[in-house]
Amino acid sequence: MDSQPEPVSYICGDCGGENTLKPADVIQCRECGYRILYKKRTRRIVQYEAR
Amino acid sequence: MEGVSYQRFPKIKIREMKDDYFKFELRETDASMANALRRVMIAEVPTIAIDLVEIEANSSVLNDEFIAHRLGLIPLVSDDAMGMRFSRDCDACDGDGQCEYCSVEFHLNVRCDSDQTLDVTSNDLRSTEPRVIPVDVASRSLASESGGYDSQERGIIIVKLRRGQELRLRAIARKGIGKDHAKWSPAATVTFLYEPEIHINEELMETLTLEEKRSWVESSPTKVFDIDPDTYQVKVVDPEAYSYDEEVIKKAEAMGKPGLVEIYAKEDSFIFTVESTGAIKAYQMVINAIEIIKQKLDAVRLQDSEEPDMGELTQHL
Amino acid sequence: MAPNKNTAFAALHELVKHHIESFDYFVDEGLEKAIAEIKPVRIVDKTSGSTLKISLKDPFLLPPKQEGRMNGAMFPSECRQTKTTYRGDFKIDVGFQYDGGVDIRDRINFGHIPIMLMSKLCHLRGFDPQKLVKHKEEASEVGGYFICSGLERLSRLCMIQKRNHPISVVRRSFRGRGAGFSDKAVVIRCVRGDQSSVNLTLHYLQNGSARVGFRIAGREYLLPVALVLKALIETSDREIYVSLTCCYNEKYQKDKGAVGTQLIGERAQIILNELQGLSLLTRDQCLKHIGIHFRPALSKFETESDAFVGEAVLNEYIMVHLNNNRDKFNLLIFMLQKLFALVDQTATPDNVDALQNMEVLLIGHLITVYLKEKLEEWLQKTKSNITEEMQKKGNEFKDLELVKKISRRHAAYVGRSIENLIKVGRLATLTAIDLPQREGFTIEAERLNYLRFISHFRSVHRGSSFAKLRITTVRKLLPESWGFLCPVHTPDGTPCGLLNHMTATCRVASFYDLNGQIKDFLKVRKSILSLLIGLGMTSLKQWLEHAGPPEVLHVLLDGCVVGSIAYAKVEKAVLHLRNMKLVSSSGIPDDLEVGYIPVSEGGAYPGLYLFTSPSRLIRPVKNISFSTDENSNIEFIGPFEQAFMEISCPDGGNGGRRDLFPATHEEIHPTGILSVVANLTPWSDHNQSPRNMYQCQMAKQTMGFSGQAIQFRADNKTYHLQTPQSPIVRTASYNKFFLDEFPVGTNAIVAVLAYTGYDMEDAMILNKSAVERGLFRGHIYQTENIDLECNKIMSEKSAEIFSRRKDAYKSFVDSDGLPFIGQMIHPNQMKYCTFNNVSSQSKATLLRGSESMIVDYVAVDGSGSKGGIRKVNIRSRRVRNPMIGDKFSSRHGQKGVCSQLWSDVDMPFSSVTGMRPDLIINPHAFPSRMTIGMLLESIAAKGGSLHGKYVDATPFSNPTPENNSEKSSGRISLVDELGPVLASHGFNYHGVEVLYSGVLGTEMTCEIFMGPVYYQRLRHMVSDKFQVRSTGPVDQITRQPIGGRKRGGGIRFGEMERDSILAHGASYLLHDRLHSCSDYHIADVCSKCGSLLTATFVNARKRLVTDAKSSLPPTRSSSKVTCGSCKSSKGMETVAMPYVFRYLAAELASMNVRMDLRLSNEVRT
Repeated sequence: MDSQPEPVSYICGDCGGENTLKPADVIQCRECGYRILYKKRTRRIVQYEAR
Repeated sequence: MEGVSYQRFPKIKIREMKDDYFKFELRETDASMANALRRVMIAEVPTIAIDLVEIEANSSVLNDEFIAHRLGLIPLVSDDAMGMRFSRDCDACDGDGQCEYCSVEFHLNVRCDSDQTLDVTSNDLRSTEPRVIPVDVASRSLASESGGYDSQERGIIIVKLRRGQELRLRAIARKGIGKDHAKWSPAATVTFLYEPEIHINEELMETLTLEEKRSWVESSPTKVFDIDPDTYQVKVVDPEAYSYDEEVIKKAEAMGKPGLVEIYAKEDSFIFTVESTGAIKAYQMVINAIEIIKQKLDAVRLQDSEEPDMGELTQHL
Repeated sequence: MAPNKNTAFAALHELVKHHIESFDYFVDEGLEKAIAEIKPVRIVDKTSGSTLKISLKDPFLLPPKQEGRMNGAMFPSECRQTKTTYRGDFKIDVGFQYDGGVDIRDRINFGHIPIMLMSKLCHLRGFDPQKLVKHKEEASEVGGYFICSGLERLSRLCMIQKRNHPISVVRRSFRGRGAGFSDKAVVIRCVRGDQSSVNLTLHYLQNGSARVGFRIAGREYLLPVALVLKALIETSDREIYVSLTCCYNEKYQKDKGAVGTQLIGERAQIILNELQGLSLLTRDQCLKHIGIHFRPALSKFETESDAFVGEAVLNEYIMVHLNNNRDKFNLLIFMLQKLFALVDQTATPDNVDALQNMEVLLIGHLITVYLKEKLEEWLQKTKSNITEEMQKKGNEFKDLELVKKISRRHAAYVGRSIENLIKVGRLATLTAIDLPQREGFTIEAERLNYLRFISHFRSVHRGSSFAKLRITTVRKLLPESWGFLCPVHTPDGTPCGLLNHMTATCRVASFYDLNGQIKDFLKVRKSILSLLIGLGMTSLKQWLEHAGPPEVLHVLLDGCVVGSIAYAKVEKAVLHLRNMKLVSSSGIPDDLEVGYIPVSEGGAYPGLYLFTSPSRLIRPVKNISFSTDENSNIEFIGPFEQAFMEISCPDGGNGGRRDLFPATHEEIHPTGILSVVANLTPWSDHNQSPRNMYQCQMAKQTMGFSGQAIQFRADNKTYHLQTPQSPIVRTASYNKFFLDEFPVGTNAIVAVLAYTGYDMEDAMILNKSAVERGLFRGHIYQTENIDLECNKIMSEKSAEIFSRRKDAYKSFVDSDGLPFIGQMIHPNQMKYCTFNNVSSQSKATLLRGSESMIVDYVAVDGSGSKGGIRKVNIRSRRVRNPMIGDKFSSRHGQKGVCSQLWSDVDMPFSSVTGMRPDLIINPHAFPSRMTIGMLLESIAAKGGSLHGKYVDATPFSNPTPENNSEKSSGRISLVDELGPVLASHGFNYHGVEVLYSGVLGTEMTCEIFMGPVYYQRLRHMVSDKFQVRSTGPVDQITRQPIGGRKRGGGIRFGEMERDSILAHGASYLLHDRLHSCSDYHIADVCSKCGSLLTATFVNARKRLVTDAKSSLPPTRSSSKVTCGSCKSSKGMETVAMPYVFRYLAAELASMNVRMDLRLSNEVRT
């Protein structure tokens, strides 16, 4: 019924490299093995009033 | 409208006129008129300013709202603002305020790829309407036409980026007035002063020694009086420099000579100083303001003729 | 090498140095010393008779490293993000020895110990700002705190009695010790090398004798003083008698400063006679006597002789700071003499509340003591476990592997208890640690703003036991604290006077010398001794030879009587000692405390008391009697010696000392008496003092710039000012402590005038246009830490992960179940969703509250999980622009609430400059509060901004003219300094301006004082506080509106409110509030039986149908309700009542109490 989740991009907190992970993947940077990853900003447009 | 007419015919005399600075005299009217003009110039002359920011990417150190707010405060050349529509009563678009009649679109797309910090400035804003651009960009292109372009001149800094950071956004500028938000105010400063009338009691003045005169003259923080180098008489050099601080009057009293000078404010003469943010030329601001006052008065008059009793007006109050 | 000596932010590092140095001591020396002091345990196998000795050998404390990754250094920023503890492995080599055979070593892991940031074991130690930034810290990071479960915690310094110094005390509670006890005693807190301490009290008995009191495991024991004296050394009655009476000499009896009286001989007799009664004559007898009586109290001795136990008691509980029994004997004699002087009123009691007799308790020392106790506990526990195991399984005793296994069992508990101490600040101890309090040793280092953060490190608490006391004497500001504790920086309210802050210049004496090496105290003492002997001190070979004050003064060095010095020579000796402090090659430490108490008539007990010990407060002053060289004459002095020194203050003239007592020292600057925060108030010397106190409080609640490393932090709540500024008017400290790194306010143009009345009663008007241009804008960042693995039972533990499996959620959360970065989430919208792998259930969590948020960042933490996201930090951002009800304050204790936002055109304006103020405050704020500093700041900032320069506003910097007579009016006032600057720019000399009303355009009737003042935005904002409701959730049981802002509840209309409505006679209003708007209820009551609870509905289904047909609202009619007990619907009536009343009836019924209602129209038969 519901589609399989698509992968999400994360940025490594140590080396800054980008990682694309699926929900069941091990949370770890592929480059340096650091385990804190920051989620990448959405590509959606965010609207603000300039006030 | 029976009875005496209070109609007056104010006069304007221009003293100094620059793009961003305008000094004029307003005579034969009263404070209400002068203050109305001041208030309208600050709060109700329309300009164009960025009002909506759609951020696509922002990896800078400043957060989205902060950048949006900073963008809003950049003054844009708003010579066409009077002819533009407010997006709230624009019929071309259904009030979403994004059509060509009521809005101007801007784009900003910057990415830092060098090791040096990159300043994102108003220069990086790309306008879809060549007549609506940040004021510093406009003045610079004018200056470059006349050959005085200074490449050192930077724009208004929006944010600084380091390597790898980027800022991508679309901004919608709209027409608005300073009452809604200060960013739409075209005025940096609008102020007026009552023209002072200074009478020196020459007889009493002559009883002072030169030393006393000098100390009296110097008691004013602004240079209003001076001593004639030839006759050693105290004379008024710049009455408008007087800031109604009454320092000289206090000084005279302290010297035991009350009534040495008498200073009155002329009730019907005002000296205006108008400084513009650059969005509109300073003199245009005055003209626009008068236009807006006229519109407002018309609105009142129309209402008056339609409904002689002030019923509707009181309803609003 | 001294850390960070010449590197950046040295002044900031200096502020927290005492924390770091104390922890370094723990690492470098304390740990080893504590373990060396722990006695091995011996287990005897009863069947085989063989023994096992378990001893602790070498400790290993390692720098923090990442779990899993080999050699991966763990950095503090990671701990903050993952909510873990910054800690290092703690191991000890434990020796197992069977029957005196080979000592088999085994390295046992004792868990982890939290590591203080910037201590020797921290990876950040010695990093320069660039490296710190690279490791996600602030460039100015100072350390000095721990990270426990992601929270930053630091120790709270506590005041405790000065170590190794006997003080005389009069306390009524001493009388309760037993019959014959007086209220007088001499108390000493003795500290061992490993920082553990034992208090010793010498009580005076009414009959002239004395008792030595000390505690073992919380129980107090009292021994006759002669018993202790005789047990200590082989001595004779005569020796004791002569020693005691040496301070009395008939010749000097009438002289000033004689402390002994002829009564002392009689008392010595009484003391000695006490032992005669017990027929204890020799040292051996005394030791045995003590041994017999203390054997039950000390469990660890089973086989040893009585004399051995007696010796152990003396070693472990009597004057533990001394190793030599002769020294102990001498000190006890000295204490007795001091006690008798107190009793005879030839010396006054010492003030226990004065800083003179206090030092601070540092975290490193506390950890050392606590760890020692926990290790001893572990040894005992291991012992009992092994014996238990032996009894159960027979001859497993020789099985070393099993023994090791048993030993390992509880080892990790040791590290855990240290971590717990730091986490909650509580000592879980029953026994030895002789401290006045058990709780409150650590606090959280809140980073609300930098001032708050840094003042945590400088705060000193008097002791939590005093907080409950009613008496106010402990809270008093005593002159002894001059220069050490800030008189201004203490909170008002409950902790007033108990929670103090160290002055900016105050430091704590440490174990480390200038070169960063641990001091060799033995060597130091030796060189001091040799210097003293050179200066004419007679060193102590035999006590008997010496006389007492006023002829000679006793010299005590760190609580050890080392000799005596002739009174005539003392002053010179003291002077020389002081000078030697300044000479680095002399071997005399620069923080030596030379406490010389001169003889006086009935004053403090005279003597020369020298201290080299750590954890004393010290501060720098200029020694003007020694060198003319400006750089080398800074001497560190302590509070004990300060009371007897002559220190002149550059601001205060000669302070009444005239020529009689010429000043030998001089303060470096008068601002040295103020704390870091108090030092920041510009011209605080022109303010009324309580205002400066208020400012110290408010500076710490200000919304400031939170820092550059904000992206790498996960604080629960952070306030962040968007557009902070550097103050135009600032004190010297502002630059000294690099506060431009963390500014806390904005230079606002302030007009002082009463405009429209919206600024009355401390309200203030903000310029709306200025706010729209960015004035005082700010954000609140909040981090939510979600860990799906905690609070779950095992079966569910691995099942739940963050994931989105429903397409319906697509617009709210990403496919990983977490929100989009930068996205705005509104109340009751989805924040994140989880998916359970076992039950295949999706669960969405909504945003609670009434305020929307922006997702600032989402950090996922993969540590400790196999796959899937289970631990996340979601940080929200909320915009907090100034609005009506927000609180602001200047730096002079002038706080106010924004009452109105006027737009630019409505603000008054200056006709000359066209300026409109950003902020209007009422002139009534000044006359009663007398914050002249604020007015001066306004004038100065105006001049400064016109001039383009910062203005120095350091208080007390206007020096008094040298000779007052010559220029009596010579001191030019500050206004006369600032005024000409304004006048030169065409402004009024006194900072006033002519303003025009913005509404009317007419001149205001008086001149208005206007200028820039540095304003702070306080963290109290209406958006976090407003509470309003019309209808909303009600309580389940009572059906009354609930309370609490978070849950959408109301504000209680309480008894006092009710009283006032009653007094007004507004009964309808009362009825409306308490009934109609609360738990209004219509109940069916049977008027026959009077029951409220028996009503039952009949034909409920039928009634529904009829209701549906007649589209009228269902009306209640009594005919459809019957009484369950009367079986009749005849007497049913509807009665309006509060629902709680019905609930009361039900509750009573459950207790078999029937409530009977009588209705006025009842149809009773």
